Amino acid sequence: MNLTKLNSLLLACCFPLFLGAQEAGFQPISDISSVTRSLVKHASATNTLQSNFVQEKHLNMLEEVLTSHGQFFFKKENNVRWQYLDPIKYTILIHQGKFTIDNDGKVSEFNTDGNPMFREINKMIITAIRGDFVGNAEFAPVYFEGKTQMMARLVPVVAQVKSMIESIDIYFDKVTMQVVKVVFIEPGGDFTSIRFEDIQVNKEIPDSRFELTNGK
Amino acid sequence: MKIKLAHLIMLLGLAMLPLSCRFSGFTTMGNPGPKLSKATVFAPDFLKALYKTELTLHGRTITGIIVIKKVDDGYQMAMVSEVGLKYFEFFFPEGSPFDAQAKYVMAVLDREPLKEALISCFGLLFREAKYNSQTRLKINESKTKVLLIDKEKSSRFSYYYNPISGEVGQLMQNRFFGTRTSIKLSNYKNDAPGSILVYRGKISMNLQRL
Repeated sequence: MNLTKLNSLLLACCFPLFLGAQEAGFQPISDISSVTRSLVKHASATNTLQSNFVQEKHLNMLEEVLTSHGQFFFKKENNVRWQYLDPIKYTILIHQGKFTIDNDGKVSEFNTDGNPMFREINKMIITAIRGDFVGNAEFAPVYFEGKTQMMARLVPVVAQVKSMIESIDIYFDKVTMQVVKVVFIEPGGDFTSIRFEDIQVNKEIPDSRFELTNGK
Repeated sequence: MKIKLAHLIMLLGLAMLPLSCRFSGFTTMGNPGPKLSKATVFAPDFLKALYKTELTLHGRTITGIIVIKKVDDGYQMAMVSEVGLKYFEFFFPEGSPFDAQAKYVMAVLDREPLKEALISCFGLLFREAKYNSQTRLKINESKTKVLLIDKEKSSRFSYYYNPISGEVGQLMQNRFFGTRTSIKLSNYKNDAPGSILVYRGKISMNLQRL
């Protein structure tokens, strides 16, 4: 058995531990079409989203968890404000086709077409947070169901994404179909969990929220 | 005999060469004595530190957090992006940090020259200054800064440090046939520097402790 297979096996064995932290007893869903219909319906009815988030980075080399806090704003079609407030100040803005980063006052605009790594990371985050992955050919989804939550495990199909991410696990509230948590699992077992709190759907968000001149 | 201007400049340059040490303001230390501390970047009781990091590679900048952790047999170091994805992870063995192992490097960064450059920069940071018969020790006029020069393989290492605390302010590696690496360190917080600035050819790094 080569190392890659061994790692995959170890990861598969360890995976229930991650799930345990969220909700025990997730089972594969047989009626996938009903789930995807609900997801599509929810995504199309969601015009705006805003929430606080807690990001936890689990590195195998470190016993402690690296925790960040911030706020997230989304407005159709593709306006995103992803803002870290603590311990670092870092904001990602996507607005009118422009991709801007404010790194503690140092502002840079990115051309994601010219930066494949950035483009893929960006795509993964947005896809995961919006729950807008149904029909996305870049991921192969598998669905699971718990008592109060559903989980979609997205396995990347594209080699470049595969090298960065083993899978993205998106947890939904079964009643509201709202994304409550996203876990990015990397090759080797490190993972990042992003938990959304105080989620508000379809509340008016001014366009200025997606510009750096306001609300910095 | 006519002396051309170019020859004159060359002669002047040669004449200045022996004085260069004098210009740098450092003179050879006679007897360092027991009070001289050893050059230290990470204190013996150092366990771990997080640094907000800006890494510029051939004009492209990536940012995130670098984690440095002391383990029994060396140092572990990883850089993760703000959104949590790991860019790379290395292990630097104690005593031979330039023989570091790349535990993980994100595919788009996984290039041999880049890995070598990262190992070279961080290896220098984790390297211990050598105190042996080959080591040269100099001190500045105000006795506030020591310059230690030691050689290993084809490199010359220079450590500018505080003779009492041992805190290193600047580190340099000059290779006879290779790129020079320079690291500036400041704002020490007990066990490790608060600010680390690295320059090596087209690579630069700015690490600020969190």
